[in-house]
Amino acid sequence: MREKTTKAHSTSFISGIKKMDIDDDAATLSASEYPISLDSLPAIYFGNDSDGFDSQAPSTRYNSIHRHSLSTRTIAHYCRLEQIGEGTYGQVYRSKCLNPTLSSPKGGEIVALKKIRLHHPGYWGIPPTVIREIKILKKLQHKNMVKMYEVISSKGVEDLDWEDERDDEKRKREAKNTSTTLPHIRHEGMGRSSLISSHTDVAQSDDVNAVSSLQMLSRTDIAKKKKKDSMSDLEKLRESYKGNLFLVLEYISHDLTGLLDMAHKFTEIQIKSITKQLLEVLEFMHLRNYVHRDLKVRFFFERIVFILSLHKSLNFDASKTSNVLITDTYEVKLADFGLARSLESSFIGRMNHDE
Amino acid sequence: MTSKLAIFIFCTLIDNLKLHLISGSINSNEGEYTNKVITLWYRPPELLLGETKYGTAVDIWSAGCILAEIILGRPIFTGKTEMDQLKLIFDLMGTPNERSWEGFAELKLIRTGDVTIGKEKRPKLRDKYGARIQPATALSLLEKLLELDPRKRFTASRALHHRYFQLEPIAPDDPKDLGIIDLGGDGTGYHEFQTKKRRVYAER
Repeated sequence: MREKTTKAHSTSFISGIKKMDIDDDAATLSASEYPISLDSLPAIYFGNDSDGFDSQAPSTRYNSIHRHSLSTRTIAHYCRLEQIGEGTYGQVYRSKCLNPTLSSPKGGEIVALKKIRLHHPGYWGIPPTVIREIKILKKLQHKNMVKMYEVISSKGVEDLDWEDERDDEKRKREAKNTSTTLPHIRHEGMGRSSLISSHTDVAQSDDVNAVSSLQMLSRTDIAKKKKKDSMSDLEKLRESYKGNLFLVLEYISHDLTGLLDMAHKFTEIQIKSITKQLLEVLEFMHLRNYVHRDLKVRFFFERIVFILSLHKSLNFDASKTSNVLITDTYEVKLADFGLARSLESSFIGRMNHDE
Repeated sequence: MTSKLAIFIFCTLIDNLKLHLISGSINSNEGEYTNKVITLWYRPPELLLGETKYGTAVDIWSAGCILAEIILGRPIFTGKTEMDQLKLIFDLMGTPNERSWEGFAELKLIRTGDVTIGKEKRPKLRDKYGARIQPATALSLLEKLLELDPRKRFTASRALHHRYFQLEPIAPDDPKDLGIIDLGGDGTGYHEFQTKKRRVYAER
């Protein structure tokens, strides 16, 4: 599997932990309210689809689209070509648009698909930072900001990442000890939970399928939920969403780190142009009282922080990829607005409430 | 526990891939922004000193770090911990005092004594990088972007009016005039992720 070769991603299991930085409007959302938040998001379409990776022939996938309503936009309308990055909530792929609509990219156009896992051991639903990023990308448009075309869904579970599989293997072994079979566990996307929550033996339940999404339940709680009949509506709703969300973004060929790592030497005028464009987009954001809060060229791994991160009360939030992107023609495109926020609310009547 | 250890060891092995995680926040106070934003190397001193009522100036510091990095070809402040990062910043930009940064003593970590400003240090940016950061206007802009006091730090608008952008060579209005980035290769682009991947393959 493609992800296996990209062994860089061992740390992504930390990403889901958390209390997150809640935005003004998103402030009303809490983990338990996520299903509702799906409706409040702008222009998100949920639909059925086969969750095709590029192993599937385009023609087959095209047919699968036509089995469903044309009004729904899903991952089946795109073909993923290559992983180009790792976000906080999932991989980023270079992809091709197969089935365009008016609002989407043109057919055959190359885009970046940013995967957002909705069913994750550390959280369930749409993380507030993602809601924030979508809102900001919808609200602010600038020539030096990456463009968002649409937000699409996949119903059904992704190919699991290798670390998910590893954790699932471990889970299976644990399950054997408790002599329970786990028919669906592989598809529960809960691989990493053992690292961030204390109840590693969720597998005790007969109804693993139902329980696995309820990451935060204690063992006693789980025992109570053994019977499917006893599931609340909310739990059923949670179970019904297991797919991922994809932000369809403008594809930019380079990032600053990639270029610097290639020992690419910029000329004086190129440096000046890049700096100017960066300052221009910052001016644009700042004048509108938005602060990006995550500008960087490269990132590194803080080992101590990694250990601390095993403790679930700690808060982690940062995109793990460089976010100053550069097109082939030296245009700067700022990306990753997950940490960006509006300062307005703090100045107007909310001096004492934020975060 | 064994698995955690194993994972830790594994992560140490892939350390050269430098995955970043922003440091953990234990910020339980309601009422302020978290100061645990921005990757450490690009994080401004006020955040490192515990400021939670910050503004857009935090982005400008990061932009300054980026400008320095593009010119030097490597990051300018590469601290291993928050304290280390602060030390590197003060070593290069000088230690703050009431004259250079009014009110810095009120910042949380100074007040609590977690950070003490030792012997006064003078700014060394010009001595250390004066020869490498050229033209001179770039160095002077950099000083304004890497101003310790966020209130004195240039805003983006002000920075765009700096002499650096008015002297030749002047950046074209349309960056396309600069030509096309051509690195050879397969034309799929050079993202950090990909260059790392390529390097991993190359090392095998």
